[in-house]
Amino acid sequence: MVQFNHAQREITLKVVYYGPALSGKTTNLQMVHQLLDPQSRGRLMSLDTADDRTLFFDLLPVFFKSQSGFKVKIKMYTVPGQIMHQSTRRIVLSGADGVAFIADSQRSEAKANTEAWKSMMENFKQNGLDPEQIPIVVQFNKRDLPNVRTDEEIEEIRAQSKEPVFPAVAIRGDGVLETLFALLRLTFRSLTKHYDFEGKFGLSEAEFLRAVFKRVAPEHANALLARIESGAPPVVQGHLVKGGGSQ
Amino acid sequence: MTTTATAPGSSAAAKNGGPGSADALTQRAVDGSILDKRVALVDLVDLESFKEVMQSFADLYRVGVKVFDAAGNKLVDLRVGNAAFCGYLWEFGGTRQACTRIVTGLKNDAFDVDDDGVEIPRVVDCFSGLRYVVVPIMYESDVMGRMIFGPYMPHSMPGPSEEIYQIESRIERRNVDRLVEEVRRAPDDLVSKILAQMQKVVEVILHTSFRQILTSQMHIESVTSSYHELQEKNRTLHEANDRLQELDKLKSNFLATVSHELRTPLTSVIGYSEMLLEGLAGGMNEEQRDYVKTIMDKGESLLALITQILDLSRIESGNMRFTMTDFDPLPVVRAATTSIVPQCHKKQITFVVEVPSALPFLKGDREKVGQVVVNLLGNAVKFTPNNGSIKLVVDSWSGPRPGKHRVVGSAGSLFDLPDENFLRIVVDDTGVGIASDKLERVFERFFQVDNSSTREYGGTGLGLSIVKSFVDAHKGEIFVESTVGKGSRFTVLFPLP
Ligand SMILES: Nc1nc2c(ncn2[C@@H]2O[C@H](COP(=O)(O)OP(=O)(O)OP(=O)(O)O)[C@@H](O)[C@H]2O)c(=O)[nH]1
Ligand SMILES: [Mg+2]
Repeated sequence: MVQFNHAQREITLKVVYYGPALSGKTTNLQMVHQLLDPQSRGRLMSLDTADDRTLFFDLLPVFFKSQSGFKVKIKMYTVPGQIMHQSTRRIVLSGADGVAFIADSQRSEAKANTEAWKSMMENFKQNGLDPEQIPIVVQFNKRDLPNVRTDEEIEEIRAQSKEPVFPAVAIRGDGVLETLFALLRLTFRSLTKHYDFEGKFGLSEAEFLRAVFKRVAPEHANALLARIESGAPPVVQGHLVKGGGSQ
Repeated sequence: MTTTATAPGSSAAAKNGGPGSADALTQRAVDGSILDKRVALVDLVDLESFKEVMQSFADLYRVGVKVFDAAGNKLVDLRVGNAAFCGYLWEFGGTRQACTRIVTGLKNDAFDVDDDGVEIPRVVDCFSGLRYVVVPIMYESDVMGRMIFGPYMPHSMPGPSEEIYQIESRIERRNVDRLVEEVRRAPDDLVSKILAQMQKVVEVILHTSFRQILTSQMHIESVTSSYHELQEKNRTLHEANDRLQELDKLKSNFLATVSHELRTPLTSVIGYSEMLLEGLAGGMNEEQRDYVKTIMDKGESLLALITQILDLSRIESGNMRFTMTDFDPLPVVRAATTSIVPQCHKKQITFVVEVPSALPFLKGDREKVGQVVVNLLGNAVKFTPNNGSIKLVVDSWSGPRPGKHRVVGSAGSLFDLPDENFLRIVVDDTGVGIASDKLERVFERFFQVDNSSTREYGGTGLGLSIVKSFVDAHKGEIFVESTVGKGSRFTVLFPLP
């Protein structure tokens, strides 16, 4: 749930990376941490086990001050994907303003993806939220591995689903910022519908996105910034990375 | 659970009992997640360790340090070198006023921000020529508090400022010159290096503490949430169970009614058949007699079956009446024994009876106790093949009630089991036996050891469950031991008064 602190002129948003175990949620956040400008993000906090499995969550805060003088904080969390952490997932997911669902492209993980998706919907309901109202973007990660769903299959899913869908190789950073960009844009649009960010806080979508993505590595920045300027539709046509790692 | 756990970072705060005390933190687990809470500096640092770190800095660089949280509470106050100098200025009205203004400003004045809107350190020059630097303590873009360094005498200043004497004419120059010697002289670039380092250290301390708080709080929240979930599931199960029991009772009532309704017409069928056989309605030929006899036989076994069902459903719906009296069990046992003899003959089964010439009196329902013995013996005959043998032993027996307190490997639980007196009835057979995984269930209603035995041996599977409910009604015990292929032993204990 977005929080407003008028006394401190502060807006806090929460987005959550959800998905089955080992799909690459933590990797996504680590990459975001690497790719964003150190000025605009805090430390990445990982509450994990010795073998790098997320135990409670990862948290990466991003913050900036709007030209109108509001401090905007975006808290980005990952949930632990292992089945046994169901309660923790529900707690971390609670109050999310937007969700990136990180699916594993490997064929063997199809069922795990579905289960995680169902549990996410269930958690929304238990947290008293209407899943229909939550901005969700989907990422098909690990496109570099063999035995993954084909590009055509992903394309078909993309064409049919109402959520934007992105292919990614998170360990290389491919598709990570695209996913985040779409997530933040969708989240902003959904929130501003209710809270009128531009009218009440003088915060436009373009300023919001530019503040987060400023000074990112040039090859990413140009494409992303071009999209901000052009106000391109929220479904970004992700260019597919060929399975087998040709890129 | 939530009331006893303490977040590690809050131990110092707990001593103060302030807003960031352990209770306040644990309370959060109850009324909202730690993830949604704003955490104060006192929650984040262990005050004693924090002071130690600050002390080592103050010692190393010989500069005073003060730390305030965002609400203006002083957490650390370390003075180095300037005490005598400042103390002297404090003695006079004019300089004391000026000093108070400076100190208040250090504590309260807002920070300037850079182009990105990030708070930056403030340099504050005292009227005396000394200098302070105020550094914001930042965590994730929030100002959690401030550190005040100084005062020190910047290298760029030749000495104490003339302003001192303008403000307060009573101050003597030679005292000022003597006391200022104890104040640290430092170049500004060294100070800014110290401060940068200091800021990093504090940031790491905050990050580490916050991490710890989050870990322990999330632990508590997750466990609490799982617990609530379990409780909820438990409740649902309980409800389902209650509903089932209700249904079960309904079904028993239904059975009782239906069985009763069936019995009346069935008795007529048997009665009329009997009359036919006795020739009351005229003579019959051989074939007709056979037919009627079959009708009567089947009718009678159907009646027996219905009677069993009726008994059971009466017991279950609580309508079975037990007439409890003191009675001698010996004639009851004898009668039961006699009734089984013809069946034994038919299968050439050896029937051994070991009953003493006298038995202690029993308090119970004479008829039901008899049925227990008859049923057990009937079962034994049914499952024992031709030429086998069965044995009945009845005696009085003393010992701890078996089966109740058996905890493997825990002798302690067996130490003080009281002995009780029982009438013991043991029935052995040389029948097919019961597999060990089925033993537990033989007393369940309608349970058949296996389907083939139903066909081979007939019966409803009600006998043993009726026996058990009779035994239970007498607060007795029944148990079974068996070896497949060798035979079974049923033991009943009726408590003696
Ligand atoms: N080949 C390949 N491996 C990946 C990719 N992304 C992540 N991985 C690997 O997958 C493993 C799991 O990644 P994590 O990011 O820890 O997964 P997670 O979803 O956070 O897992 P949990 O926290 O246990 O739910 C790690 O070994 C990653 O290096 C990818 O794009 N390609
Ligand atoms: Mg993880």
